Formats: sequence, structure tokens, C-alpha cells
Amino acid sequence: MLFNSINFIVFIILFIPLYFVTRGKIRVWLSLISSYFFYGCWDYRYLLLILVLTLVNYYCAINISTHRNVKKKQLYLSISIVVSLLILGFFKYYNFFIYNLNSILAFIDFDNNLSTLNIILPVGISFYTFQAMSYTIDVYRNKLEPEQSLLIFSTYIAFFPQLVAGPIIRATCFIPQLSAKKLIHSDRIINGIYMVVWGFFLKLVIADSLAMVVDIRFENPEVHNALSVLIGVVFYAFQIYGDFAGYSLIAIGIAHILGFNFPDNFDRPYFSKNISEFWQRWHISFSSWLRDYIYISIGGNRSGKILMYRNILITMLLCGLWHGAGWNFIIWGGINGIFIITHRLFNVVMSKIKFSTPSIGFVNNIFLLTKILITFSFVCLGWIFFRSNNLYESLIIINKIRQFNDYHFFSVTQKIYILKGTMLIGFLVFVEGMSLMYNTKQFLNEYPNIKIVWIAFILVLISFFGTFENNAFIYFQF
Amino acid sequence: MDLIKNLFKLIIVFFIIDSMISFAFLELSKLSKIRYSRLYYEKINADVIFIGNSRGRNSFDSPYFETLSGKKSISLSYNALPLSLVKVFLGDYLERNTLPEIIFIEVHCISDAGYYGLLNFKQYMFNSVALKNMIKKYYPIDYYASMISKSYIFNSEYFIRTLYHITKNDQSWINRFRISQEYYNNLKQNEDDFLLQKIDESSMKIFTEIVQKYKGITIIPVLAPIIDKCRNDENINSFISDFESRTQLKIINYSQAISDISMFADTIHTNDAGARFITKKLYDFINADASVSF
Repeated sequence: MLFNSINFIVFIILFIPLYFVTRGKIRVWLSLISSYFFYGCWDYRYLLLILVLTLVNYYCAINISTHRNVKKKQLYLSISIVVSLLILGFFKYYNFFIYNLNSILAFIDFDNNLSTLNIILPVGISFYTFQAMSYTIDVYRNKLEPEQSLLIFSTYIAFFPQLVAGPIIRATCFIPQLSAKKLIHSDRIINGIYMVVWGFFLKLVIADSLAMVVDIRFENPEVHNALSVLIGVVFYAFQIYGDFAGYSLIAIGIAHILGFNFPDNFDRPYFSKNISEFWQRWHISFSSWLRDYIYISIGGNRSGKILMYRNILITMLLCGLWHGAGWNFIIWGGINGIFIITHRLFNVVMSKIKFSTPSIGFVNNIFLLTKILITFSFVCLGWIFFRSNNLYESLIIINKIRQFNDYHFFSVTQKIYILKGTMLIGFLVFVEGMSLMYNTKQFLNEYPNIKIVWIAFILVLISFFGTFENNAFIYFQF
Repeated sequence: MDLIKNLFKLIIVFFIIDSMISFAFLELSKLSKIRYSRLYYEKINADVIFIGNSRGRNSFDSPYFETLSGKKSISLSYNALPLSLVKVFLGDYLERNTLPEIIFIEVHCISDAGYYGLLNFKQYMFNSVALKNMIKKYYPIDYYASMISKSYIFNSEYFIRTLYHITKNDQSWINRFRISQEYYNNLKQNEDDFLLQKIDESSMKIFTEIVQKYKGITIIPVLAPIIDKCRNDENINSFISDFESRTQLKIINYSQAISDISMFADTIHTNDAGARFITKKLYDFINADASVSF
């Protein structure tokens, strides 16, 4: 069930009143059954995967906590991780693995073609697998007491707002809130509606409007000139942001209405001044997951600079692989890792030559803007690999932009959509820029009537600019 | 209680903003010089009407025809315009204006009796009963959404064009591209086989209704040029003979009229040069044909 579908609107209109009239265990049961229904609407057979993951992680966590023997604890942790990764690996990476194995076998003239399987990738598998794994690892690290109630734990894994495309919520954040008393509070519900409306604006207006321009350019980059391709890349940067940040915000907003406080998943990432900051602002729940469960687990920055750089690279390669079973995703992760390492090395050089930002206001602002633009350019370079159908097409796009020889707007197609897209991006950058400079969030909280007018205005913008074609969210495939 | 009050405020404010914005858009739509705004908000009283899908839009140069003939001309063609919408627009035109002498229809739209692109024109749904009914029938959700939010009727690519043509007449909106020799050389024979293969019965029914309804007007079906590598003459000839036997109307077949590739914007659309060429040919044809009162 897509958030941007009539079915979901009916679902949520029925669910919210029921949620508030119920209390205690009945409410939790309602949340769980509704979540399973939400997921089952896509394909009920894959509910089995969620059930298996839930049971395995639930029992492993309880066993980890009850056993005093470290080896036994490790055994249960291993069972949990292996089962979770096996499920993820089979459904997401099996065909990729076989395909590459076949290529290697063919390369060494070994004529034994292994057949791939016709598997449908379960929606959101990477999200709920990682969420389940983080729980068991936290219990193993003694950061968390295992949840004794299977009902509560199952609801944590399957809670529908964030089930299929995140954010990845930690058990420490979710489980205590599930049992807490929740009342209907006007400000909370208006705040939640505001998040949901802004999320829909990001998805239906920004992402889906830009998609029309982006898809054509990435589908066949050869036939477009350099300017056209460059527009496609920049638009894609905002498309994926609108799509994913939009989904996250709708999820967080719905949870907020239901009485949960989930942390932000995006914090105006395109205003980042360097690539490391970008990764602290982009898909925060996943970046912090990578930091806590991979980067730190493989040594982090505890074993010297060289190993730290290696760890960054490994983490980012896995970040790429998590996004999809394809070399383009791995390369995307890899180059982001290289960017982060380069940025760290650059900082070392800068600190050695004692370079500091100019103190004059105007010059400082120019300097800041330049940093933001440079960071954005690097991020866009990464997006080329992420979005392209294959490596060859990524290189075509990069070559076209690099050659810088055909920048005539006349031969650019879809001028009307480009005009519209540019205007929408301008609006988004303006709104986010203002919120960064003047803390408009706090302002709107202080003046609730202005917030209501603002929500109404965004709703009208959605009505006027929205694309209502039930386009799936990009991150569903991850 | 606070919640109900706030939700009520939100709904009221939404409708106020929505009404204000849609009012402004409606005024802009009325001001626009784009073809259908002229159709619904102006008296056009043209002598000659050109209509069709994108092939019609790019093959008929109505200002040039006006210059050649001295007759007031208008093109009501639009990209991907299906025959069902041709019927709606012609009907609405004839309700509001004096009868034209000639209607040229580019026949490729006969291959499509669907309702593709219908939502593009929802900004005129309150001006046309036929259009409104069609939207209600084929897109009920959009219809009811338009009833709730008036600004939604302006949510279309067409409205952006409406704004673009706020002061600029759109009659010379014809492709300006020219295909290159390299593009032509890379085309494979029959790669983009042209669609006119057989007559769609529901299209033919609509076309017959148009012909029956406007008996006093000369309706001239035209087949615009197609680049040679993508033209299937066998299909075209069979289509033409079938069409002519059913309607007793003769198609002016210009599918082979242009061999100079610089007059094409792509394989099935002429550019401005091609449009002038075809328009001149049509003008010459009319002058030479004694059966057409002109």
C-alpha cells in the first residue's frame, strides 16, 4: 500500500480513530494487525519473512540476555545475524551473486552456467532486517533489556509507518513509547499533519514532477546534449531527496499523530558544507546505523589513521551494497567513501597550513556558498552512478558533462517541465534555506495560526502542482 | 475541542487560499492567447479550422494560411489529441462561433478514440458540458477533486503553456528542430513503423458523427508527411481506401509530399519549414479544386 494512494487514505482514516478509542494491549494488537494488513496488501506471502525475522530475533535476544556464558551469547547473536542476513542475502543478492559468478566462470572458460531465480524483492526488506538486527546487537552490547512481550516486539518490527522505507527506528526509541500513555492533543496532531503534508509536498510535487525530466534523460543519455544531461542529474538529486525525505516525513508525521516521537531522518542535506556533513544530514537513521553497527564494529577510528580510512571505505561500500544488488550502487558507495576520506585528508592539510575562513561577513558568505555548491557537485557525481542503468551509461553522462561542449538550451527537450522543476527546486531551497537561517520551525510552533495558514497553502500547492499517478517511492526497492 | 477548532480553521483557510489562487489562475487563463482559451473565452469566427494531434499541430501553419488566403484561420490541434476530444472541441467551437467554411483534420488522430490527455484540459471543464461529462466518466476521482479544490483544475502541463502564451499567440507553435543527416542515416527501415494500419471502429463512429453533424461545412481529411524510412505505404494505402469507402471523403495524402529531411523535426512530425510547405500545398489544392467553395 502506497502512502500516496486512495487505499492508504481510507486505511489511515479508519485506523486513527480506532487507535485513539482503544487502550493498552488492544491498541498494540490493533497496531500490529493493521501493520501486517498494510504490508500484506502488497504481498501477503512475504509476511512470513517478517514473522521469521521477528521470532528469531525475539528468541535470540532473550537467550543472549539470560545466558551468562559469553560463548553462548555470541552463538545466539550469530544465529540472529546469520538468519537475518541469509534472508536479506537470498532475496536481495542471490541473483546478483549468481550473475557475477557466471561472469567469472565464463571468463575462466568454465562452462557451467548457474541459473538465476525469479524472485520478487520483498518491499522494505533492508529496512526491517536492519531494524531487527540492531535490536539483537543492542541487547548483546547490554544497551537494551530484551523485550519480554512478543506482541510489543512484533509491533516494533512491523509498525506500518516506517515498515517499508524507514526511518530505521531503534528499539530504545520505539518500545518505551509504545507502552506510554497517549492522549489526543491538538498541537501534536497539527504538528503531525504539518509533517505529513510537507512530506506529501516533497513526494508528489518535488519528486514526481522532477521524475518526468529525470527518467527520459537517464533512460537514453546518448541522445541528450550536455546541458540536458546536467539538468537531469541535478533534478535527480532533488527527486531522490523529495522522494525519500518525503516518505520519511510522512512516516514520522503519522507516528507523531499516533503519539510517537521519531528522530528526523533528513536535515536539509543539500546545505551541507562538506561530504562528511552531508552524510550526517542524509538518511540519518541509516548513517547512524552504519556508524554504530559496522564502522565501530570493524574498529572505527580506534586503530590509527590508515585503518580508519579503510573502515570508512568498507562502511561506505556496504552502504552502497545495502541500497541495491548492482555494481553501480557499490561504486556509488565507494566513491562516497573516497570523498569522505579525501575530505578528512584535506582537513588535515588545512589545519597544518593553518587556513581559516575569512572573517569578513560578505566574503565568508561567498565562501560558505562555494563550499555548499562544491559539496552538492560531489553528491551529484555520486548520484550519476546511483541512478544510471549501468556503469557504461554513467560514464556517458559524466563524459557529456565533462566535455562541456554542447550547452544549447534550444536543443533541450521538455522545456516546460524543466521550467516547472526549476521553479519548484527554487521554492524548496528557499523554504529550507529560511528554516536554516531563521529557525522557522520554532516560529511556526510559537504562532500556531500561521502554521495552519502555511499548511493550507502547502495543500493548495499540492493540489496545483502535485502528480497523482501513484508513483512508487524510490526507496521501496531497497 | 481545540483539535476540532484547529481542523475547522485549516479547512476554511484552505478553501480561502484555494479560491483566491484559482480565481487568479482563471483570470490568467482568460487572458491567455493559447488556442483553447481563445476557443472558450473569445469569439473567433474563423473561416478555416485546422485540427489534429501533434502531426496536425506541426503540419498546419494557420497564420501562413491566413496570409495566403486572406481567410481567418485557427489551429485547434494539440499533442496526442484523440478523436473524442476533436469532437468535443469542434462541437464547442461551433456552439460559440459562426460556421467555418472548411475544417482540415489530420487523420492520424483517427487511430485514437481514447481519452488520452483529457485531464490536460480540465481547466475548461466549467465552460464545456461535453468536456465535464467526459472527465466525470473517465476520471471520476479527478472530477470530484476538481469540485473540492478549484486550483486542481489548473494542475496540468497545458496550464503552464497557458501561462507561457499569456501575451503570445500560440498559432505559430510548431517544432523548430531540424533532423540531422546523421540522425536520418541512423534510422533503420521501418524502425518506427507508422501506426495507420487498420481503422478503429469506435474512431470511425466518432468521425462519422462529426461529418453527419456538420454537413454544411467542407471537411477535408489530410494525411501529413512521414519520413520515408518510417513510412509503410502498404498500410497507408489500405487505410486510405478503407477510410474513403466508409466515409465517401477523399483523404489528401501528403504522406510522401516531403523528401527533404530538413523539413522534418523527427520521423513523423514536420517542422516550421515543412508546415509552410504543406500549408501552401493545401492552399493550392483548395484553389484548384472547384468542388470546394472558398
